[in-house]
Amino acid sequence: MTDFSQVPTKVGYFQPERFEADIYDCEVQGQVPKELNGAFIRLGGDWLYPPLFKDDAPLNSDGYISMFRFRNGVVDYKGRWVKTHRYQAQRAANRQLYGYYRNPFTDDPSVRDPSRPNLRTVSNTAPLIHAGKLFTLKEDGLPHRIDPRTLDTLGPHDFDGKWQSETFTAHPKIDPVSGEMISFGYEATGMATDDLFIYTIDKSGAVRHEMRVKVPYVSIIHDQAITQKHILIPFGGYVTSLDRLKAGKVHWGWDQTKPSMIGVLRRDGDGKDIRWFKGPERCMMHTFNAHDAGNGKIVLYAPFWDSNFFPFFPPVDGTPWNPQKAKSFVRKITLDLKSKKDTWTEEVLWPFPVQDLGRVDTRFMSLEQRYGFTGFADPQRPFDEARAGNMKGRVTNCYGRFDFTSGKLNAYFAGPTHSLQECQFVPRPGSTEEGDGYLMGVAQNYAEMRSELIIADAKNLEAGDIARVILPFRTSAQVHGMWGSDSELGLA
Amino acid sequence: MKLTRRLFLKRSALTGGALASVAAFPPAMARFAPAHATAVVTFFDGQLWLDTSGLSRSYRAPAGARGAAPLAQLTDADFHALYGRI
Repeated sequence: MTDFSQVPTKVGYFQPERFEADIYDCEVQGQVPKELNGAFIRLGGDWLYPPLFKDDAPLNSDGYISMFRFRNGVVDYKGRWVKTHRYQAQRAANRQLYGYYRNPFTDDPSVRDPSRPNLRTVSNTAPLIHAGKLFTLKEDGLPHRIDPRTLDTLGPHDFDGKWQSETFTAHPKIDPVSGEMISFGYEATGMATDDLFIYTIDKSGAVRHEMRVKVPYVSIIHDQAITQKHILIPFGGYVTSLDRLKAGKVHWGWDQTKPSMIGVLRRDGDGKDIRWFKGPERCMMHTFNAHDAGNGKIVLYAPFWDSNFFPFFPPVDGTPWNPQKAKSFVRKITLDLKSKKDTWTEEVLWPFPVQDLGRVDTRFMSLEQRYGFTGFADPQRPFDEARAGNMKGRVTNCYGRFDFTSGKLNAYFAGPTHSLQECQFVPRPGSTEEGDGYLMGVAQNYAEMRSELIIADAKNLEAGDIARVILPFRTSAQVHGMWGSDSELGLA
Repeated sequence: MKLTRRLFLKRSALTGGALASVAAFPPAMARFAPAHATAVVTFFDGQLWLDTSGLSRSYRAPAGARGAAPLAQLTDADFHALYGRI
């Protein structure tokens, strides 16, 4: 019998959901802008079956894709499991078959195959819309193509065999000028290998350019940044090895003695020009954006963590995980390609921690940009413990528009019983001004045990939301989301 | 005693009989419901909820469900394990 009672985080609002759903013409408070026609696609994980190991990473939970479909002011909701090879194997067996996060040596013998680790991907991290196609992504496997109308899983996608890496990042970047997508796979030739393959995919979805490089040490390379000329590859701290995996441990451990790294290489080169810059202990997961700043300088904005954020990837030296250092801040990093030094300068732009799931107006990806958007906890805002329960201050109650140029912060407050997941910026149709559009994201309503999609004017966050789409249940939690217009999704 | 999802399943045979009774004798409001409407059992927060209106209404939690309350008991490590969800 399926039993989640031993999973410590499956409590309260986060109890298992495990269902697929359709709601037509959702309840709405306020007015959904009729000019928004497209879909807010969300991807996250939910355990189809309880994990085999209680201390496993939640990042190992099964992929679940959901969609808020907007048509002339009406919003429909749809949620579906991502039907990966792994999902289907578990459904056939009616039980959990897979062991620790990215460690096939710990799998049930019926599915154990360390020679093909990407078959065990849960595809649960980020949706991608490119060249008229919708995909689900996770960095340990290939993209899975999804039907944007039904959210049915169509299967893994290898770009007609031209994608040679065994893996594909959850964070490809699309150049708004050329329409090209820059993407990469690390551990490209197998578990714990130091191979990094970087690709340029043209706006038709065809692989046009490949670069193969070696990394200084094998680590999580979760995100990247691009400029018009360069690709930036940040990582740091996490380590692995084949011996570690054969010993039956979770894929990653944290080594605080390892430097943080940013690799910089030209987009149009062969990869041999890659230059590795080193920095202090940092957990480098997500970026906002980067641009070429002239005179050989590159500026990167990123909400990097001081140290290891993930308690389920424990320190390799046996010390306990330190929650005090698990804080992310909005940082401005400047790299000087003309300097002979192999380090960078860093400024912390705001003194308080933020949610590290930073977003931007993607029409300005790779270009100089003024605004970044992300959630944060404002301790001055009220929280209604009588209706929502005590959160001990652990609530993301605001979205912020962070002005990198002026240092100004504009904030949206979700309400005294809510907490916010990652936001998404949606451009106002017809506008070309950076930041002119809507901020969108799902909130947990702890008082009424339901999910609500928030829609706010990104230029007037203090005014509160202009609409809330109400779901009569808790929707599966999101890691990342993406907006796609009807034309981008092929739904027009 | 709190009737949890697990307890309910253990007692499914008995409960099934009870449901059949409810379906056979719907309350007064059911006369206004569509012909196919019957009593509906759903679970909320691990507990049984039975719609006896005959309108097949799904459960909607009342304001004040305190869904965050159990999270306060989590350790820092378990709380951070909810990455991206908070």
